Formats: sequence, structure tokens, C-alpha cells
Amino acid sequence: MIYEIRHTRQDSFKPQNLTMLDSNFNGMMKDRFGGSKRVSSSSSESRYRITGRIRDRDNRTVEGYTVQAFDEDLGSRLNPDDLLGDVKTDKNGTFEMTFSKDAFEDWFDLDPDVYLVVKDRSGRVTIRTTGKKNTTKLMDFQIKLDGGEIRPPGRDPYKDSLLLMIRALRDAGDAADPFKGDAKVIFELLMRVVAGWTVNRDELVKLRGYDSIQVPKNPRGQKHHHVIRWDKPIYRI
Amino acid sequence: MSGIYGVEDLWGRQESYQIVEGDVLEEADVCIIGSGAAGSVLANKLSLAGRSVVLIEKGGYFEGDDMNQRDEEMLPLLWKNCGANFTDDLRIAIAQGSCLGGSTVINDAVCFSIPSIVKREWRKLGVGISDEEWQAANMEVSERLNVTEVRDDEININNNMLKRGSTLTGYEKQSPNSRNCVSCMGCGLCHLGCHYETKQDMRVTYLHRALNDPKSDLRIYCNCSAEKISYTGGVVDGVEGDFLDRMGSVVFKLRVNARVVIVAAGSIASTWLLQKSFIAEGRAGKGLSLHPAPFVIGDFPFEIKANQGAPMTYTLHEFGVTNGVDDGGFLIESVFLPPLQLSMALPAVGGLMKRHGNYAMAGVLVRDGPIGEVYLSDLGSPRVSYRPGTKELDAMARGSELIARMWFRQGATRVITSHLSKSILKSAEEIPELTEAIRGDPGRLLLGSAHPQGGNRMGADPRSSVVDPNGRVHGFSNLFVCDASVFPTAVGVNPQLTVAALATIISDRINRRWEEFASLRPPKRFGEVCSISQPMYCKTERLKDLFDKSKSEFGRDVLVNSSKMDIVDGENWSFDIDDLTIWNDRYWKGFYASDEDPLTKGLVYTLGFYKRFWRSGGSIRGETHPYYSQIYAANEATDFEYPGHGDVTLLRYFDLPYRLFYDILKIVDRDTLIGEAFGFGSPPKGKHVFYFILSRRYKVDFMTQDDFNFIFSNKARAFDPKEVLGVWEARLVSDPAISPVVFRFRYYMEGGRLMARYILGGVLTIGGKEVEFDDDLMREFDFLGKAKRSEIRMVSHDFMLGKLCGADSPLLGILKGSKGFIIQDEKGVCLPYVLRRVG
Repeated sequence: MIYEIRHTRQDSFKPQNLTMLDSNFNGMMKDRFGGSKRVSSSSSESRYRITGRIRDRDNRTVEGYTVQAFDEDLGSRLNPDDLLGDVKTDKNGTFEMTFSKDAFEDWFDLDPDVYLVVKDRSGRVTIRTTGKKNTTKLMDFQIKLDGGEIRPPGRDPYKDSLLLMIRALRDAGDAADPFKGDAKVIFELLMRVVAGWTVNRDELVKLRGYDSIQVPKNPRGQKHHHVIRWDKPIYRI
Repeated sequence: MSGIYGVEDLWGRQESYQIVEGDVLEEADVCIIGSGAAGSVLANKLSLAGRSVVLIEKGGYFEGDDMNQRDEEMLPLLWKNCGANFTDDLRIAIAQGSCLGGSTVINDAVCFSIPSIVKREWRKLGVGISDEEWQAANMEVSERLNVTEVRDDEININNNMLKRGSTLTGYEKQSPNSRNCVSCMGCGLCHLGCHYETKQDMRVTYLHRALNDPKSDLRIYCNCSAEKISYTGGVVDGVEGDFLDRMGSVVFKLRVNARVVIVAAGSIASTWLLQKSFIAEGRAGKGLSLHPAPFVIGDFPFEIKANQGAPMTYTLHEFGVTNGVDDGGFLIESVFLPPLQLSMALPAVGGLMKRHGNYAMAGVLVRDGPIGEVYLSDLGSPRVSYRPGTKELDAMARGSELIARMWFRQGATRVITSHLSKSILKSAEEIPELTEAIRGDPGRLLLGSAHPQGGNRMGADPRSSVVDPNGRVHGFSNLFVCDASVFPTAVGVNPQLTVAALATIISDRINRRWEEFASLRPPKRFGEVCSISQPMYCKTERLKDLFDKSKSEFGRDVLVNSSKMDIVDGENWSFDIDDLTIWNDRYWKGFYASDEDPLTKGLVYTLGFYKRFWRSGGSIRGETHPYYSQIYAANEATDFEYPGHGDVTLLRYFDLPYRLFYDILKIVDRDTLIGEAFGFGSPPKGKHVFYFILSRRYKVDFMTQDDFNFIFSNKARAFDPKEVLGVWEARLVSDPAISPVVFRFRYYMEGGRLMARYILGGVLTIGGKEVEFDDDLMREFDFLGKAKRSEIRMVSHDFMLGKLCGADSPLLGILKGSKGFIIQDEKGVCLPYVLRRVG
């Protein structure tokens, strides 16, 4: 149910809508009721950090772009999302901001549900990333602008990949000399192929939410932003 | 003019792309095979210098937008054999790209310039490249590829584990890597192609630039496998290739006529192509190095998330060639793999993938000796034979030990290795068991290799090397090999920059000496490509097109054949032994379209025919004779203006029932014409029946039994056993057409005797019988039961003719009296066949 609500909200989220929101905030930290918000303070334990880098479609880094971080709430126009911070990119295209629990905490939110809005130098919104629950305290966003335009799809290049894989096993058989292989090695390899395709692949990618894949399955056919979001673990040593 | 061509249906490409819809006959100054780190640089530099260049790439053309970060879909698109590319004992997985851009599309973007020790070592071995040349080339390549050292914030926790581990174990010779990546997004999936195109692979750099320069003339053929380099003496005249569909079936043919051919397909494929073309026999394939790399994974109680960020950004140089170790040695490099690949690296049982986020991984890059070999399998595909020696195993053991210590030192709860007998170490005390297992039982050590090098060694001595210091194949004036396969020894570091630098140097040298190559005039050949010069290779659709578009260049007088039906060499018949082409003026041999459907094939074998013409007073008379009949249909040729086709030659028949039909002929050159048969109406009102071709010039693949007998008796010779070693394919000869391959066999030497072995279906090899010699005839053992004698004679080094004779063999007995693949002469019944060497 909650998913349904969030979904519709994302769809209806238009840039002009955002500009209106933005003029409300006007770069200042306010809570949803219009009161000023404490942004810093609190102990370093509860501080969150967002880092990242923005480049244009030719992979050149961009300077002076505005990055705003929001906490996505179950809000409406009258109850807008919390602004967690905003910052401009430096000459390397990088940005960094920190915020504490106070910036987003309310009756519902225990963890921020962070998304970024990137505006170019003229204030035009170029990207709004999607939100994500259960983040770590160190978030890294790598963003490439103007990505993922939809182009005519042509032939689906992925549709016969399974057949190709099977053919590859056959060819691997021809490249092997049956008198040289060690039976245990061959058995282990076959087991790995089976395990890789069944248990491991599903476990990691489907069940455990492997976080490396960040583009849609058919990138040419589906509008998407070039955004990589890492919820980074803390380097503990 | 410049552009990419391929058989895949692709849309919305950054470069100009066109779908290939038929055979291609190309002509260029330079033909390059392979579009990887070497081929792309060569294509760029030669085309920008004004040469017309054709580049052949077996893989497909894919861009960032196609790369969807999923192993199971990207491995088939980008990796050679979907990643299942092994040595012949299946112990070493060799990672190679097979796509436009080659391995540069799927590598980790690590760039090292060639170490000084290696430069010196290679110079001693005959590589004539000075330090200055290397340096200039390295700088040029680094600039083009935007090579920069990684920033501190790009070194992820996995790489930091190596950094800290190296320091903790007391080794200071360590440093961040340089990468050819602009503003890396750090998705960590370099192995699956860069979706964001931040990785500066060859397609987005060298090829993109060359394709978009208005002055360049670069045509790239993707989905095309180069199958043969053709040459006469020491002069190469071109390359033949097959366009392949997704499943690897041949859909069209390619022939490139070129002044210079450069093989840059990578160690294994380059060697394979040379071996298949019988170039540098006995030398090509020797001295392969692989940089075999065992890996060691540490399982930590805290999260590493090695998948986040660039996988390979840090190296420990302490024991490597980059730190002055001149014999062997190893580097330790961080590495991480996408899920399916990681799962192939981990033991199958034990649920180890669950701990994926807690693993730190590093590999040992061993600088091995040139101890491997590439050879051809019975089916003609490449096989790699590689056994690590004591030196290599020692380096692997030391490197693995070191990484294992680093991981335990930093709190790993267990260590996973690539040795099957000791795949999990629970504590540092177990490390000696691992090193012992690596040294003592290397058969169960699984290795990865991403850097196959060597095989076509560069050197001054033609007896021990394949190419000279300029990259030119010894004994050839215009054939080059330029890729990692010419490295005389392993380079010891990730080789892409060295490969590109070498290609820079070689292409500069070719450009400087271009006049020399421009003066070469190698003969133009047509391969097996459908064209107006040899329409017998065309399918119906294309034949119709050719027929409709072409004009009859000659009148009916050209049709007249020799008055003699017997072969008189040099008068009405000749044989070009270099191109294996027959010219036969005794009659015009008839051909149908080359479609594979049963109807057309049936026509070819049952209704194969010839037409013969002679002068009779003021007119040209002729006859049409299907080989397997008593029919000689008399006809007369007249010049005629046919509506829609202009001036053509009309062939009208005199007798019933042939009178119901007529043919119109377009004579496209003196020895070739395309005809259309009509029926049920007088000209021009007849209905189309079929297209056909008549030719006085055809390849030996279309020889008749008369041609066979004449060549067998007059143009073929006895041979030395050493000349026939390799794999041969046999096809039966009938007048209308030669059969598909009926069997394959391999000749080999064993204890000084020539032996032969049959290859059944390309999988099983059986037999192993000794072959005896008797005067100039070779007697081969019988394969049809009763001892019959097969005589084989050699025409050229890859073409032989054979005859199996004797009336009392059961099979020949059955065939006796039948027509087709049988010759009946004074010796009785004989089965003629041709042998083509394929490996």
C-alpha cells in the first residue's frame, strides 16, 4: 500500500512543481510547518554524510551545479519533503554535505529516505534521483547528466543470451582435451556453473538485493538517469 | 564512407551503422583483423594518414546504452565464448573480449607502461624498439586514452585493504594504479562494459575519432570472423571472412583485397588464423604466456562492499618486474568480480556467495615464462596448452601466502583460495598447507588469466621467431602481426598500454614506408563472395538483382566454345594453381543459385548441365546437356532486344518439349553470363522459370570429373609425408557439384611414421593407422571394409585429390552402374574426392 502511494507521487513529481517547492525553501532550512530547523549540532554518531560527483554527458565534471538532498516523506504540497541540505559542486564536480537526525526525524521516520535534486547553473532541475530506505550514514552519489534517452529499440540484444551461454559451453568442450582434464576439476567447474546460475545468482541478485546493478534491464528502451548510489559501509580499520 | 557494418539489427547508434545484407567484396590499402588495443590504434593511425582501411571484428558493435550491468546478458555480448574460454585442461579461464573494442571494453582499465627491465630484455631478444620510441608511444597513447592516476577517494575499501595489508606486512613498494577512465562513476562493473562510457576503451577513443574524421576512410565489419589469409609466395593478397549470426552460423561471406594485412586478433586468435592459413608453420603458437593469476579472498566480520567503486585501483609492486625483479616475479592487485563471475570463482558448495559484501579479494599476477602453446583441435578451433612450471608455481605460492597473511592480519575470519584441495583456510596457521598444495598439486589449482601474450614471437632470427622487429611476418613482404602475440616474453604488468604503444610504433613505421607497400600489386581475388564476376556464389534473390541490373556486354559471338571436347591444356582448358581456378572452354558449365533449400540443392545434383555453342554458317548453334541424361537439346542463339532488359542474347530450342522454353542470356564478361529461363509462351511473353549461370571459369569447388581426372593425372604430384600433417576435409566429386564434407581426418607423425586418424562428427577421433607409401602414390588404409586402395596426390599445400578404386568393395558395388559420384574407367569403379586442408 505504501509502495502504491510513493509510486504515484514519484510520477506526478514535475520540475515546475519542484521549483514551487524550492521557492518555499529558498535555500533555507525550514521544517514542513515553516519553522526553522536545526541542521547541525547533535553528536557525530548521528551525523549523515552525502558525497558525490557530477559530470556532463561527455564525462566532463561540472562546477556550480546545485545539489539538494531531501528526505522523502508521505507528504503532499502542504506537507513537503524535508530538505536535508544543499550545496554547490566545486571545480572537480564534487560535492559533500552532512546533516544530522534532527533534519528529518519525525513520528514516522527513523532513517532518512534520501533523494537528491540536481539543478544546473540557471536553476533548471536536471535530475531527481529515487529515494531509498535503510541507508547507511555515508551515501555516495555518482551522477552523469543527460543519460538514458530512449532510442528506437531495434532487435533485443539480450533475448538469446541463455542459448549463447549454452553454445559457449559446447565450444568450451571443443577447446578442452578430454585426456588432459582432471575429473575433479571438471566436476567442480560444472557444479559452479549450476550453482552460479541457480542458487548464487538468485540469492544475490534477486533475494539479497545486489546493489551494483543500477540501470534498467533494457537501458535503451527505458528512460533512466545515470545515477549510481552507494550506501557505503564504514571503513572500520 | 567511414562507418560500421554488421549483420545485427541495431538502431540509434552513435556511429554510422549499416546492416550487411549480402556477401561483401572489399578493396582497401590495409586490412586489419581485430579491433582491440592494437587493431583500433592501427586503424586510427593508418586511416588518418590517408590509407583506406578495412577492419574486421568477430564480435558485435555495442555501446554504453547496451551495457545493462547484468552478467548473464553481457557475457554473451562482450566476452569471447561467453567467458567460458579455457586452456585445454580446463584449469585456466582466459578472459578476452569479443566485441568492437576487444578486451579494452571489458578490462578493469588498468594502465601500466612497459617496465624498463622488459624493454631491455626484449631488445636482447631482437625487438628493435628504442627506449625513446617506447616513451613517445606511451605518451601518445596515454594522452588519447586519458590515462590518469586514481584519486584517493576512488580507492574503495577492498583496495584499501590491500594498501593497508601491504603496509602492515612491511612492504612499501605499493601505489595506486593509473586508469584510462574519465570521471569514473565507480559502478564496479568494468567487466561488463562501461554503461556510462567513462572508461576510455578503444571504441570511444581511437575508433570514434577515426570514424568521425572527414578525411578518414575506415570501414569496420563487425560480426565477421576472419577465416583465411590468402597469399602467393611471400605476398599476401587479402583476407577471407565469414559473417556470423548470433548462433555462429555463416550467413554471408567477406573478401577483402588489400595491399597490407595486419593480424591483431590477440594471442590466441592471431595464432589460430596464422596456423589455419599455414603461415609460419611450426613456429606460430609457441611461447605463449598467460600471466596466470590465483586469487585469495578474505572473509571479514565487517562490510567491505568490494563491488562499490572501481575494482582494480591498487597494486603491490614489491616482488614484481616494476620493482626490479628481472626473472619472473609477481604483482599483487586488488580485484573484484560481478556476481556470476564471482560465483564461478568460489567453491560450488557452502553458500559462500551469501557473504559477498564482506569479502576482500586480491590476485597474484605472475610474470610467467613463455611456456604455453596454441594448437588446432581436430575441428580446427584453437586450443591452449599450458602447464605452470616450478618458477610460476613458486610465485603463485608466495603471492597467495602473502595475501592470505594480509587478510588474517586485518581480522579475516577465514580465507578462500583457488586451490580445490585447500579452498578454505580457517587461520594463518593453515597457510603452509596452501603453499604446499600449490607447489605439490598444481593440477587442482584453478587460475584466471586476462593477459594472453606471445605465440608469434618477435625476433630477428626467422628460425625461432614469427615476425621481424617491424612486426612483419618473416618471409612475407606485406603481412604483419601486431598485438600481444608478438611479445617475446610476458610483460609482467597489465598489458593494454604496451599493446597500444606497440601498435602506435608499428603503424608509424608502416606509414613511413608506405611507398614500398603502395607499389605492391597483389592479384585481386574474389574468394567465395557472390559478385558479378562469380555469380555461382549468389543466392536467388541476389542473382535476380544482378540479372536485372546488369547489361549484356557482348553479343552472341562470345558464346562459341572450342571445337574440341577433349581437354587440351593451354588451348581449351587451363588451371590456375595459385587461385585453384579452372578455365574450361570445352563448354559453358551451368550453375544454379547457391540457396541451401532442398529444391535448389536437388536441382543442382540431379539437373546439373552444360551448354555448348558452335558456329554454323552465319548462325550460332548450341546444345544443352544435363549431365545425367541422354538429352542434347539443340538451340540457336540470336541477339534480341528484350523488353525491360535491352539487348540480350536469346536462346531458342528447336525440338519438343524444349521448344516450350527459351532462355535470355546477359553476357557480363567473356567467361560469365547470367541467364533466365522462360516457358509457356514465345518471347517476350514467357513465364519466368528459374535463373541460372553459365561460366567458363570456376573454382575447383565446382570441378567436374573430367577436370578431376586431368588434374589428378597432370597437375598433381606425389608428396613428402611431412607436407600433409594436419586436418583434412574430404568431399566427393560429381560433374554438377561437389558434395558437402563427408569425412575429416588428421595426418600425424608417430615414431617417424605417418599416421592417419578419422574424425567423426568433429568429436570423436578414431583409427590411428599407419599410412604406407608406394612410389608416387600414397596408399591409404581402406575405410569401406574390404581392403581397397586409395590414391592421393597433392595439388597445392592445402589441396589434394584422392581416388578410391576397386569393384569388389561392398559400397562401390552398390554404387556401380549408378551415376554421380562414381567414375568408371579401365581400373573399374572409382570414387573421386577432393581434400582441403583445414588445420
